[in-house]
Amino acid sequence: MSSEVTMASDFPAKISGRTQYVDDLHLPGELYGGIVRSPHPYAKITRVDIREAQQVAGVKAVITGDNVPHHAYGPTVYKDWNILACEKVLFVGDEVVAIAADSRDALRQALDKVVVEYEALEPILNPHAALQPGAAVLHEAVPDNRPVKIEFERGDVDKAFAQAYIVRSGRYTTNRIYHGHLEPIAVIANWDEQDGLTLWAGSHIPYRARETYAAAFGLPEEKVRINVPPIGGSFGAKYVLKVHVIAAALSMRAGAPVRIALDRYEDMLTAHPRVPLEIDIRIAADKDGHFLGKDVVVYGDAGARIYWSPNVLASACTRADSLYQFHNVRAKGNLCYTNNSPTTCMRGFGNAEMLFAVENVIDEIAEGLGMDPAQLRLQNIVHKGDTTIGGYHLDSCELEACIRQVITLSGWARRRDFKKYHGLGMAIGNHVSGYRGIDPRFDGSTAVARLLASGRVEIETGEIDLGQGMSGTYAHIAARVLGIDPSFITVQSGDTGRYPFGIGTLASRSTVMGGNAVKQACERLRNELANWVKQHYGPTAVLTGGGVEVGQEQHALAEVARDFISCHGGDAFSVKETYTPATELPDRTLYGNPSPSYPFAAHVAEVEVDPDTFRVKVIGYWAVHDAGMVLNRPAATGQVVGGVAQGIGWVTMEDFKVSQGQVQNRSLLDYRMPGSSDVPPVTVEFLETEDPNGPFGAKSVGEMAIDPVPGAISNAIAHALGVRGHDLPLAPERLWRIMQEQPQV
Amino acid sequence: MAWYQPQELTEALDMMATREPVIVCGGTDVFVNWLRRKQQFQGRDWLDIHRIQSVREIRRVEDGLLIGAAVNAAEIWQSPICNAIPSLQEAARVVGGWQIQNRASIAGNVANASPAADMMVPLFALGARVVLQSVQGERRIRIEDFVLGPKQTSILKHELITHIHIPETGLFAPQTFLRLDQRGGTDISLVSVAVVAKVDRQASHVNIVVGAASPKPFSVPMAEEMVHKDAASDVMKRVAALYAAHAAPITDVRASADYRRAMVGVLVERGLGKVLLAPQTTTG
Repeated sequence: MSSEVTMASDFPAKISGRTQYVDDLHLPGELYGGIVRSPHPYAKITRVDIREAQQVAGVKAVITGDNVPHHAYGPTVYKDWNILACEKVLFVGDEVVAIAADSRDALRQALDKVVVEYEALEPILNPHAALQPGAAVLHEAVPDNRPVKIEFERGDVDKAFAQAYIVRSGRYTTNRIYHGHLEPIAVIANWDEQDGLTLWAGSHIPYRARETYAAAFGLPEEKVRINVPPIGGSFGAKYVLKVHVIAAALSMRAGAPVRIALDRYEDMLTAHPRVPLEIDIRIAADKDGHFLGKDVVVYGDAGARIYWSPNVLASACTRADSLYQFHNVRAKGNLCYTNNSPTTCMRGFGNAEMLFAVENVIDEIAEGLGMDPAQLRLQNIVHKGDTTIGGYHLDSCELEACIRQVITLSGWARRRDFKKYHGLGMAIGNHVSGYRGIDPRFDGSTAVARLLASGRVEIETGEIDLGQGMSGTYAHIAARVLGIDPSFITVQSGDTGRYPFGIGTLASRSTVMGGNAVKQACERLRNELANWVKQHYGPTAVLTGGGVEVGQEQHALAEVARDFISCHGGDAFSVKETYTPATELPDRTLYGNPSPSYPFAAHVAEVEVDPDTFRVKVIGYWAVHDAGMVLNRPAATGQVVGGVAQGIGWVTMEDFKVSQGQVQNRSLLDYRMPGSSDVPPVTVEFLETEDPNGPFGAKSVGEMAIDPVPGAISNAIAHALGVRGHDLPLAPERLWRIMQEQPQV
Repeated sequence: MAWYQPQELTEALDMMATREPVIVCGGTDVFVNWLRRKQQFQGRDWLDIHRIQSVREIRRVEDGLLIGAAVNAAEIWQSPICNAIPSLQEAARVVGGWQIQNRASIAGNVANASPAADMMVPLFALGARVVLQSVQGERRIRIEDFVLGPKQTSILKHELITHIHIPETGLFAPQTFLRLDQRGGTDISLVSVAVVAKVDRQASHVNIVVGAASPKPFSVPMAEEMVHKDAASDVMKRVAALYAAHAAPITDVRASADYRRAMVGVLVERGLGKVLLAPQTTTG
């Protein structure tokens, strides 16, 4: 049931509806699981009565906080998770009771019959409230409600600002964004005394999920196995999830497989959105437009538990320091617990959020100096060979060329002649190709390459294809090393019980980390096979793409494979290789070189704003990327176009509207995402040079695609209106209000 | 529970009188979020009217146009007969997405009486009548009297909407429908307006109807009167301001009342400008 994708692509199966997602899978005797959730953002549980629910015909298990284990666990170093709530609920949607029944109707009836009484408490709804003296403590281990505090200064920021000719500053806020995965969260869990716990679940970091779930039940890791069927979109939503744990707890109780599949309402009610950030930023420059310093204070809303918000905050505080030469930088980051649904990573991972602020402030400096914003960027960016102030080693960097090319492609010079309500905006960005700090223990990747009896080559990886084209890219890499057609390669992944360990698909790491492992494994397979054929067929035997040549004699690869198997007791030729990048674990100030390579991009957006309704229409978009050498062009281009589309939604319409901790717009009718008519043709260009650390010179592209988008579109809107919005989304009503507040001319 | 698909209207009316079924045509409203809503329909019979030929036709009649209850949005915007009422066609073109337009019926839009319904707004501006039948006979009622408020109509227990009648006056009159939504397609309106206006020496009528900004589509007769007398652009501004002042919008997850009210003014002015400042063509 694991995902099997060849270079021939997963598209036909997905488009024709043949792909089997979690909800399409069924186990004999499976039960339907459901969850009774808190309607309060913060409350004491005063009574739980499950007796009537237990009486409903078809109900096989009803569990509460009283009959599940209470080990300290969680997917990161912050062990603040539970399985079900006991004394208090911490957010709307917090899980109190779970039920498994043999039909959906029985489940629904039983869920309705559970009685939970609460004593509502005053909720903490934003980071500042969390830090108020006397605020309720949400987790005993963190008495100040601030699990993460980041503070560093490199250089002398106060001195830099004292010497500045121009300083521009502002408070920028980024919002709660729904990942918008087509496939809602779903899981099937099966407990077996002998084999332990097996889950079928969409997770693109299944080995971390295994570690976390084992800890939740006090099981050894080898007693948990996670199968990952094809994932119907994630963008960061499908890492490690409480729903998976609860399904497992129900299965243990019921002694049968339990499936939980959220519908869209529950998926949105309980969604762990993009971490909302409040960013106070100022940037200083001299009179010629050379940056002197950057100073940021960031508050992040973790919600009621820690998912990946600490890493998001860290990216927000650091990444832009390796995009521009600020010379002096300071950051203070505060991550706070609140009674909102826990927030987590989403494509762009704090970097896109900070770049929204940085790129707007840079445009303001350009305005202040009467400079072209593109020129201001050009004279302050990082270059190949730099070690940045944050410690990144830039072994490749085509950022300057990206900016120059996007100037040409977009017709940037037109900008001067635009009338009001017509704008052109630029933003640039950088990202990582894997991040050392995600798992300090290991940040590489392992791959197995195997010559099957059919002559096909099978690649096993611990990384996960979540629809981004990873398997196609690995097939391409393997084919290139082995000199065979990619259609002869099968890429296998998504079963922690069968395939090698992997950190998973996050931090845009799959092409470089997993790709290097695949390349190494295939090189070894090729070299060892070349030696073996000389032993077996004679010293003149030569391995070619299609098989072996011995003088005039030809042996097809399938024949070679079978000969090898015959000589080795039935074992296919198989090698395993691990790639370990030469990265540095960031130090306590987050300084270090955390990734083997850094992609860059320069984007330009063109907008028209309706002068009365303030509807923004993005009418043109140009994206020039340095992703190293491009290995899978359709997928890479698709990543950029998709990132731009997602960014258009983020900036112009998407927003979880939350009142008293409760998501108000929990349907796709009320949470608007862009459709195809909201996305203009996107011109995508890759400036290809080889990065020395990537497989065949490749770098990442997935998150880089969205990083500059909020900055580019918001700068275009500011250019169109002559007024700058600071709070995402810049939806029509918000722009209308900003314009209402302007003094009338 | 049973699902009835009669082919004759009389059969349907008999069922209405005896079994009080839930009337369904496209199902684009009643089946949304079905799993969470199905309990409220427990034990009810269903009457699917879309096999009844007489309610599926669009016909030119002596005193206007007759649109069958089961005619769907796509049929309306594709129908040459409906070219006489382009404002309804414009509304039909933006109802939901294509799949919805292929199912959503005009009578369903009217019977559902959502304040944000698209097709209802031009029907108000065209002076449409709702034709209702029961075993007792037929009655015709002005649409503004039929729709009482959000999800409320004056339909009687055993009645079925069979047709929507568009009177002669609106046919081929200059008209438009404008909608403010949140994205480029498959959306729900924040505010909408339909303008049907013919201002010349012989005959003059002006209907300006605003949707999604009050419990039901509304017009301001005093403001319409101003346009009769003078269609200069500053008059349009004043008319727009009057409409904005008379709107009773709500604040919800899609927009605030303030923004909706301001947009009523914007859309009314745009609608009037489009209809009255465009060169008028006489057809029909």
